[in-house]
Amino acid sequence: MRLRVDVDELLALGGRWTQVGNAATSTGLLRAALGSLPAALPGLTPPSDLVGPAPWVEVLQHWSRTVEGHGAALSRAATAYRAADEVCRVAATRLS
Amino acid sequence: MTHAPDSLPSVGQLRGANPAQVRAAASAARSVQRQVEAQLRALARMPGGWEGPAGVEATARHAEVVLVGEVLEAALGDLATALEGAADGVDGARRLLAHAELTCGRAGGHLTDVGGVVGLLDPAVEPVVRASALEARRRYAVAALGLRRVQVPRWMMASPGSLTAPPTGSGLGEAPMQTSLPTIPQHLDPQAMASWFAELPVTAQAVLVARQPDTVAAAEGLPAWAHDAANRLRLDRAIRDADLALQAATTAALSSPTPIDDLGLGALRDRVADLRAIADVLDRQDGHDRQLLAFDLSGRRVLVAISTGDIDRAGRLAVFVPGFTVTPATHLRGYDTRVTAGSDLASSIDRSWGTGEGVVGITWLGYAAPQIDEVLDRSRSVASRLPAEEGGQHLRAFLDGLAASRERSIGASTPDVSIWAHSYGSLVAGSMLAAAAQRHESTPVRAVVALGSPGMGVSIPAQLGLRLDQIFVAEAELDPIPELGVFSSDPGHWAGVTQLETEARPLPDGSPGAAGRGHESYLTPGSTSAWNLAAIAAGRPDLALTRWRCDEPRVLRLRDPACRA
Repeated sequence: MRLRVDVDELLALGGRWTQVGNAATSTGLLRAALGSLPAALPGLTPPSDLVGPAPWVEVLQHWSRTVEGHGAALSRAATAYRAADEVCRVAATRLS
Repeated sequence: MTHAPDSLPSVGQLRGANPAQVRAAASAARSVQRQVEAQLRALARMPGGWEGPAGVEATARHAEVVLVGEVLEAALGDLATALEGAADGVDGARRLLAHAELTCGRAGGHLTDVGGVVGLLDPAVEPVVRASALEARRRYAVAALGLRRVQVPRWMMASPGSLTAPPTGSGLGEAPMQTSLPTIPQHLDPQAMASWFAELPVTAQAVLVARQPDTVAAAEGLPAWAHDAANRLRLDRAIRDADLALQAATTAALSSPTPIDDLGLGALRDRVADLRAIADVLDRQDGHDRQLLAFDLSGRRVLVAISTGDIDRAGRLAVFVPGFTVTPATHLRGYDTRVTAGSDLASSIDRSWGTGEGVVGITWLGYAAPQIDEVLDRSRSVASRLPAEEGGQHLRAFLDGLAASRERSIGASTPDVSIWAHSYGSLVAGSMLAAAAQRHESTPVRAVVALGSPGMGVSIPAQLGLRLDQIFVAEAELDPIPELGVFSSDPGHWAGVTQLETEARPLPDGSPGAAGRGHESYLTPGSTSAWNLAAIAAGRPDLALTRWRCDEPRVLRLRDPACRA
């Protein structure tokens, strides 16, 4: 039995996701810009989401890790498939 | 010297405000939004042909992650928009304050940081300066209110099975999400359902949508994005299943002595045609982010509702309710085109003459419209009220769900809904409104337009539970249907409701409105009728053109070329 999924395509997809997850978003700029809001708007109480430990930046970091993690999982699956497919191919050759 | 109320920020604080810094924050948020948008584009579809548990698992997880990314991208867009609005508001407040200071200075005075006015040579100027300064402080306080409505998507913190914890090992076949999958509660009304869903972290919401699309799609009260995402997953699956079923049935029919129609091939072909029409409309590349709001496969024909934009952010909604013989395969493409053009025109009118909130159209094929081959079936015939009453219940549930999700999940107000009810669809809308009125219940409907109506199922317009100035009727030349008046009474003869023009007329925007002819003319782009529908949906019914009749007083007749001829 051979695989119906294109392992090369799966491997490329995993690589793309990992690359996207690793690509830096401008979180530093966003963190600084949001952090300056209380000073830019004196007398106004900024919403809780815009103060403290930069929750927007945290969420963006979670997102990047999630994308990267899915890419890594796809790559692991593709690699495992390739190994299994090779075993099947060798076995089929011996049987014939 | 008088001190202003302490609850407002002071003049000194307004002087110290820095709108450029707020604008820089908006720019940073917009930049990150575009980066996430680009990332989403780069995350291609899953490879085809990957079957088995691992393939299913990977596909579901792919959907989850992309959904979370879409929510994050939308939230970043909201943040950027709110910051831009705040910067504009602060700019406006500071301009007003500068004007007050200039006026004060010209009169030899000075405005203090606490809002006091000192040293004025002309006392008559003081009230003006003080009022302007107070208004500037008020505008400054209001400027940042939009920021409070923006919330960072809450993330389920790292725990076994959360989106933050990628599966270990090869992982994909282990279904790691299922251990923490929340269960959609049963028997909640739309408001309670909306509240329950809104409390979930976005990661859990995405997991629910990806793993239980059927349950999510059936739950009234969830935000439009969740219904759209779940329904799109269901549509993909339904197309695959229907194609396979038709292929198998066709193969079987070729080797069977039984007549092909007896094998149900016709029904399968109808199903495939309905699904293809829905996919075609959703794939349209015309700049509209359509949402698949409703998608029901339980009946003979597919029931569907597609919006022309984001319902969660729409200011006003225009819901088109069609009539006899309508199916997705035969009518969805054409109606979507016209509803899109109509809602675009309504948004344009709203920008020029209204509040600028925008209008989103919905092509609602959400009830089993009577078909030609059902005419002799008493429960399904177009001559019966039963399909309309059932449709009215569907329409009510649909609108209630939209209203609940807007109020509870999105935190926005209920949008004003206008209904464009065509032909038998006007009986559907009438049944819904009359049933609500009988039970003394309110609906989000702020206007209903009966287009080529055979009757709305009520004897007098008051039975619809709307004010007379919220009810509109359009009857085009060469349209025989409105003359039937078979369902209670003819809306074209109702006193007090607005009879809309359908003839050629100059429109308020300076363009010529074309005449409509026949039963399918009401939404034709460029027509007077389409303008009228758009004006009503935009909340400016005063811009709609009312019908002139040649038997009306001479002053009106002289304005009407048709009457002069």
